[in-house]
Amino acid sequence: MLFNSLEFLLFFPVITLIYFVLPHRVQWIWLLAMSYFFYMNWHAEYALLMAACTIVTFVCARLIARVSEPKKRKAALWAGVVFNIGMLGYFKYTGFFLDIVQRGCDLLGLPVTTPKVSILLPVGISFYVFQALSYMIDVYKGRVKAEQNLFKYALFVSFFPQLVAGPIERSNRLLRQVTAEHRFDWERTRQGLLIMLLGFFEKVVVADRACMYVDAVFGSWQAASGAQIALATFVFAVQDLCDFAGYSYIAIGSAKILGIELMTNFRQPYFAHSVQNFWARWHISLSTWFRDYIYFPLGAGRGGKFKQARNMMIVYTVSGLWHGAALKYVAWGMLNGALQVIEGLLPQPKNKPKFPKLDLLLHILWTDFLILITMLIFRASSMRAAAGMLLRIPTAWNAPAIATGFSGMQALCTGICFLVLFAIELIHEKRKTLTGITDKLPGCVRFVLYLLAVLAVIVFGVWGPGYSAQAFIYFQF
Amino acid sequence: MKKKTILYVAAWLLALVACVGLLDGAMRRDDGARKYDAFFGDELGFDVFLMGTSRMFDSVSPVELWRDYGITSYNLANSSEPLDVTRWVLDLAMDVHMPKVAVIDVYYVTHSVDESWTYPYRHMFLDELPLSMTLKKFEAVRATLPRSEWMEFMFPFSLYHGRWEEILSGNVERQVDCESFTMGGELRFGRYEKTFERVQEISGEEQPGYQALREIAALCRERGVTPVFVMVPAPIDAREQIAVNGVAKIAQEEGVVFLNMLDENVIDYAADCYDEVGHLNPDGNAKTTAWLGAWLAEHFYFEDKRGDARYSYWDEHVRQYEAYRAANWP
Repeated sequence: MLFNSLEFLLFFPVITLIYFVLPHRVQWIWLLAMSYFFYMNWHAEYALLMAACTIVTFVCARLIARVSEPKKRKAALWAGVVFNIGMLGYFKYTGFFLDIVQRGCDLLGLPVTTPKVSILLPVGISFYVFQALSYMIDVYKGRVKAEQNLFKYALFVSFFPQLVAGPIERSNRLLRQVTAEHRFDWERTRQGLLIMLLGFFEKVVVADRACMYVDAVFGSWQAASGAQIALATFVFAVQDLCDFAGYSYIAIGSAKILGIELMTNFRQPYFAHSVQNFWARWHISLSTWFRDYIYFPLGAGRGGKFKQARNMMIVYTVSGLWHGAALKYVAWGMLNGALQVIEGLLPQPKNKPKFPKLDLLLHILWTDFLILITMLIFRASSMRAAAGMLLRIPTAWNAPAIATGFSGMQALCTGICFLVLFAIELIHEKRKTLTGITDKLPGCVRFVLYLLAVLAVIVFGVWGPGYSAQAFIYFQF
Repeated sequence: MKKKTILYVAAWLLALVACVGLLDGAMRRDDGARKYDAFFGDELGFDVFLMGTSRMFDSVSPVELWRDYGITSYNLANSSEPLDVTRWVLDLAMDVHMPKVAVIDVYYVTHSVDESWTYPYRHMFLDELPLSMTLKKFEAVRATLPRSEWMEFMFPFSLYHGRWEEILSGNVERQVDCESFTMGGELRFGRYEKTFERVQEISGEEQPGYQALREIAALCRERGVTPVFVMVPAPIDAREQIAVNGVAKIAQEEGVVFLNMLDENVIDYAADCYDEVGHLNPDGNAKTTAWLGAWLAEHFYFEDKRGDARYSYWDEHVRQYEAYRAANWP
């Protein structure tokens, strides 16, 4: 069940209503049942994987908490890690690694043919596996106590708003919240709904419309002009943010309505003044996961600049792999790591800039330029395509543009949406909130404003079967 | 929650539903209204329903049937309509008005309902159905459309909200050429020279539309309506003719009259066709209407309502229709 589906718009109010009607002792059981129902809407059988991940990490954590011998504790931790990473590896990376082996054999001239496999990737596996691992590691590190109730823990792993696209929560924040008593609160609901509305705007109005142009250009980049590729890369950068952040907002908003606070996952990343700062604002729950569970255990910045650079490269290579099983994702991750290593090696200016605002703006623009290059690699169909596109931008800038099927009206709508999005991001960057601003307005103005915002999302959003004027034109039969 | 908050939320939800309703009306295509408004808005009912594909709405004019025979009819035919869909359109239409005769065009007997590439046309009739018929509409949708398309028929706004681009750019193309005064019929002006070679061979194979014809016959029996199967003049190919010829057997089994106008010398194929596939132009339409009108008048008793003041709006339709025809088909 997707957030941007009519099924979810029916599912969520119904489960919320029942949730608040139920007595506290069964509220969390209801949430657990509905979370599994939500997940099983895709492929019911894959809920078994989530259940296996839950049981294994629960048992391992209990063992870690129960035994005091370090070796046994470590063995239990590694058993859980190997099981989960193995499961993730099998479903997500089998094809990728076989492909790498095949390429290696071809390169060496070995007569080996690896089997072609087609394994369906279970939705959300990268998210719930990381969430479960963080819990187990936190128990091992003594940061949290092992949960005694398997089903309460199962709810922590499967909590539906953040199950398939994050934020990847930590047990010390979420585990107690999901099982605590929550009463209906109108003000909290209003805020949750507004956050969800922002999410729907970003997802169905901005991202899903922008992707039409992006898909057209990236799909025929060999014929597209350099200017089109550059524009499509910019549009993709916005699409990617809105796709991901939009989904996160819907997750955060719906959890808030249920009384559960999820962490902020995106904080105006395109206002970042450095690549490092970008990663402190982009997919924060994942960045901090890598920081806490890979970068810090590797030694972080301890041991000199070389070790710091090495650790950074390891973290971002793994991050690239997490994002997708293809060489381009690895290259994308490594490039992000390398940019941050270079940033760390650059000398810091000794004096304050004469024009700090201009200096900040230039830093932001430079960072966005670098991020756009990484985004092009991320979106391109392969490394070869990415290289070709990067080369084509300057060499075929004025080449004839290809037909994208994106009409002037669509472009105008997308442009207006980008401006609205920029205004919203600017408001958030100024440490203000939309609710904070709208709350100062008179009730009747807010009434109309909310109504117009919802109607705009309904009309301009890309949802439903999709209207095609062509299909309705009389073709004489 | 305070009473004031409850009222605020209720008022807001009400306003949202009202706005969506208004937008729904504003964003729908008007083809369905142009084609069917006169049917749903009529208070006196019709003697005859004309059902089927575009061949039917290009071949038989309800206005001329009225003008020349005093028969009230409505052309409910729709483009590329498989007979399984015609069965449901007839069923739904009979809930609105009960005719004496249902004339069913059998041309699409070779087509099955699974050929859903034509499904957008089904919106024209289904979108116009009143809310009170929602349950039966759902039955029809369930029977004739794949599950993935149910939502857009039961909640058409899910489809039409995407029309903003077409509306704002002013680039709206018509789906049908009928006007409110043509009572579902259509006049298409042009001439395309066609030839026609009659094939008498009869299909021994079961065709996709045969079962629907049996169901239509049963439905009509159940509702006390006389069905008439008809193949209007059309320069169709041998394969289609063989399938259409097979309808005679179904008609005989079901005790239904089958008028195969392919065997009659009704039109001049060289002069009376409009396009490459042989839809009829106004001349072909007039000849076919005259032929069918004469047959209906001969075989059924329809009270001649011409001169009855309650039916004067039909005379107004005739005036508008003739002016429209004269302006475009000198």
